[in-house]
Amino acid sequence: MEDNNLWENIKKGDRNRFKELHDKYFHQMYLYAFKSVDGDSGLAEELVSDCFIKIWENRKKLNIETSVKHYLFIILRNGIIDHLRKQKVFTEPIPMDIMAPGDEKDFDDQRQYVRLYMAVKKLPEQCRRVLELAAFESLSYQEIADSLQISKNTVKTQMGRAYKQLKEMLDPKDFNFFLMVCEGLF
Amino acid sequence: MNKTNQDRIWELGVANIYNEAGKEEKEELKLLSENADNEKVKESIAGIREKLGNTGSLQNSSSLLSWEKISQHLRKKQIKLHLTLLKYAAIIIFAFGVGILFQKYWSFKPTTSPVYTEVRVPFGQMSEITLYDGTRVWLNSGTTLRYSDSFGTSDRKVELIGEAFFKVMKSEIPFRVKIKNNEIEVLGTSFAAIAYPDEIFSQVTLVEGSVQINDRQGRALTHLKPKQQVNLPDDVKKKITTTEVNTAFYESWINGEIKFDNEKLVDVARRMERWYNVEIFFESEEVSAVRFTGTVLKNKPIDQSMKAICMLLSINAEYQNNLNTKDVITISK
Repeated sequence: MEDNNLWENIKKGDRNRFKELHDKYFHQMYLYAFKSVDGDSGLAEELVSDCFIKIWENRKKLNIETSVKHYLFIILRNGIIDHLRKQKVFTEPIPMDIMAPGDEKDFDDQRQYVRLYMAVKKLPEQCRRVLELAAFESLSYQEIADSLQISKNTVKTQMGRAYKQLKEMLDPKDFNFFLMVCEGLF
Repeated sequence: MNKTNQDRIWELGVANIYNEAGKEEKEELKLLSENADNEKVKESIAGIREKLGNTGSLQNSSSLLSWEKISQHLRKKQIKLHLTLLKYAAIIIFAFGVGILFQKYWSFKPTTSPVYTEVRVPFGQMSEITLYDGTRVWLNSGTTLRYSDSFGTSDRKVELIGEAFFKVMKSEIPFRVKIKNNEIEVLGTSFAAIAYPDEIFSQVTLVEGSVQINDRQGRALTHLKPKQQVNLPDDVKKKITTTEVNTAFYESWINGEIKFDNEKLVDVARRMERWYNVEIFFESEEVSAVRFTGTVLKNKPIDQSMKAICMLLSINAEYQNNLNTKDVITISK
């Protein structure tokens, strides 16, 4: 459903649509918050949840004419600033410039990261475990082999496979194009 | 393009970027990269690697838990509304009540500090309890479970030393288990937790539902999905690791069986020591590293179980019965 349509229903008190909005933007907003609070994952998640609570409580008063997405990020940003202000009240000014959320390029990047994350989750089980341990937990191939009780060679194969599949999932168009070209050639 | 060649370039390219390619592989990659298409693969790999770096932070996020928190808040709001209505009714009832009470008892109860209940299961035994909220807990040998008398009203907190299996009753109040350096937080699910003082780690295995692992300050460290097991080293500087496991091995003991899946005898022995309240020694490192797969039944005496293991693995066990201390078993090749 389109965001504005969602929002109309949320204003009427439709919790399912509210959950839909939450699920749609949660990861992007989390990434944004995560960056602003120096990588404190618990805090980032809390700031996003609080932002949604604020929005629900004020839904009747809010008239969103521009994009719902921008609105979400503005409220989230205010929440982050409030939080930082409480923490740094006597120490330093808040670095406002690093946090303007309106940049379309930032949104694009975030969307790409979220897409990649979802793609990782769709990888076959062993492939995913291997990749997660290497990419997110920075384990060496040998450490991964030990922890999953597989051979180092399997780790190597699975890593190659994981990357290849991610590439295919991320640009299905390019890939189809590639196939078309191949078919044309032979 | 050759299919296996394609896979090979991905494999080598990825290994290379993770500094896992050997000298020969690097040269092979160099040769393969002379092809323009392969050069493109290398670019793709670098691009994905860079994006994955920014994606990793999502690993600790949970859209599910975030929504859980929000919907909890929405529910609280509703209750509050009902409460304001009830308030007026309550004031009237309260006024009557106070009058009657004053007549009946003219005394005040002194306030008391929280009282803790402790359930202790000695070595060689196990126990099952049901908590006030309906949560069932199976306690394995040598385990202590502690909770305050306020359990179930405002919070659901317990402290675990040892091994237990929890079937947590669903509720809006989070159920928290303190183990060593960490805290397990759930709403309603089944999981196994191991936190023996004589081990250098604690361990949580999720059977169904979802759990969140917190640090001592209650900040979320990671989330588990069904069949995942997290290993939490006592040394907080060490990395916590999550693996996929067969959960049967971690819940079987509640039915009086211990299942082992290709585990070293030294680890098997540690569990049997607790369960049968004996001490097991190994004559050599070699024999302690032999791996065992099979099931040990709790209601069988230890000498029978040992005999079966010995026959399977062709090793010897020697018994020494002691009157005042634990029995000792020595295992040799």
